[in-house]
Amino acid sequence: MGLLARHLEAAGLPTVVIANLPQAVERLRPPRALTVRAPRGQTVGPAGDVDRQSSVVRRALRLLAEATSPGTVAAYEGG
Amino acid sequence: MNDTKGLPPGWYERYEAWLERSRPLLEAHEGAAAFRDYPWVTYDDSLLTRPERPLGASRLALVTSGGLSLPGQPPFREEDPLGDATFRWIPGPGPLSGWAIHHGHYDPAAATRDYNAVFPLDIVRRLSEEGTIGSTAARHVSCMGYQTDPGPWLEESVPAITAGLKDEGADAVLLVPV
Repeated sequence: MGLLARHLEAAGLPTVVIANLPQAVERLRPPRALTVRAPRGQTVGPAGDVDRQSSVVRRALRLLAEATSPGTVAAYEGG
Repeated sequence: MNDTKGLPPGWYERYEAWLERSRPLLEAHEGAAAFRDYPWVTYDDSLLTRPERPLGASRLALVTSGGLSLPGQPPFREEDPLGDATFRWIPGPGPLSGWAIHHGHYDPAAATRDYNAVFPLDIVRRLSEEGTIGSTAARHVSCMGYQTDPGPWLEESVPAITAGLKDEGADAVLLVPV
């Protein structure tokens, strides 16, 4: 996904990755990454947890709008 | 000079040597052992394209590597030890019905109950309805995100996804790996 993010960005499409594998962010340096503590398969949030899912997506979109440096990484405050 | 799009010089020689060593482990589903000495592609720089429009006027597309497919679409080859570099277009705006998860490298229980765990289509639809984003793309992307050789992904899927999302009028893309 980091590779795709880099190519989309190079083609003029801004991207943000919700990342649950910090080592992949370190390797691939996507343009913007919101790191979350989440088990594999629940990156956005547990099944049915609309509050968590919405909060994570909103935070990722804020990063999309506000990042000014290539490779900006932010940690989701909710863990 | 790169061997292929974005892959460093000499990468394929390292990959072929790794694959020869690791194929038995891959075929035995011993992924952790197989990938211990995988020649990971790394970058020491990044890039940034600033959004042209405010979020409230932007058309957002989603990409998940959760291995989600819809009825009538071929499932991802979860049993292939070398992975699957293909992708599926998932039409919006949702809700989806009849989705299936074929991945093989994560526990699909949550996403089988609620695809938003890895593909927040309903979440972004609501954000569009409330005006936080301008709109959602008419189609989104699902892939498996697991392939030992990134060549076919970079040479075939990435250009097709990029062109498709641009045709779609997407202004921004939210990517969700698993």
